[in-house]
Amino acid sequence: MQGFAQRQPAIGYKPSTDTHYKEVTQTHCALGKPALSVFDERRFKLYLLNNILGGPSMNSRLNMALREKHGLAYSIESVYQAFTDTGFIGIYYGTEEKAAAKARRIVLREIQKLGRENWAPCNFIWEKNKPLGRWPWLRKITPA
Amino acid sequence: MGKEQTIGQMAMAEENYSGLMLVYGKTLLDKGKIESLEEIFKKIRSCTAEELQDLANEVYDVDRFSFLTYLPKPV
Repeated sequence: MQGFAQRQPAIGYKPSTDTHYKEVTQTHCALGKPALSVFDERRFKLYLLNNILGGPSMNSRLNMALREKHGLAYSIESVYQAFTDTGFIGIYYGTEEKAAAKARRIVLREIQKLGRENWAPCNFIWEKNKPLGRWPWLRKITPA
Repeated sequence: MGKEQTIGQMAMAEENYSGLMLVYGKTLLDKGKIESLEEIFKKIRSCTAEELQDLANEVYDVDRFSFLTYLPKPV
């Protein structure tokens, strides 16, 4: 069976900033932009980057910076979604209104650090030869 | 650490069979093939620090982000 998705790359994106007042008790902030599509072979690298930045674990960069270190966000997460014509990366966090500006600066700083800091092996531990011990165990307990 | 953590999360997610089948179906429709988790793990493990940094500079461009903020209505 051949894939039949024939989409044209999405074009014409322009960054924008919107602010709205709602019946909410805290400030909700989201930022995002287009990213890699399903046909880009680098998407797994981006998946890894997104996980490091704001994945579900407590030691993600954004969680450590915004929650653990500064105590500013009630929730913080980043997402990456690949589509056939484009992709999307986004970050969401909720915070107090008075802390919103500082939280935004911290989030942007963490994003910039991804591309600027030295990804030395001590910062990004290589375990290429480490057997994935969890994987055989999961196979064993999963019903056939 | 980052690589193995990501791979572990993906392995755990595979336990959700309905979710897994949806992912396989979507991949089959989009690309005409299914990539096994082993293939994906291999690709993740092959990432180098330089590749990640280059990709971060390309994709995570703060000047290209759009922002949406919901503020509480003033009382």
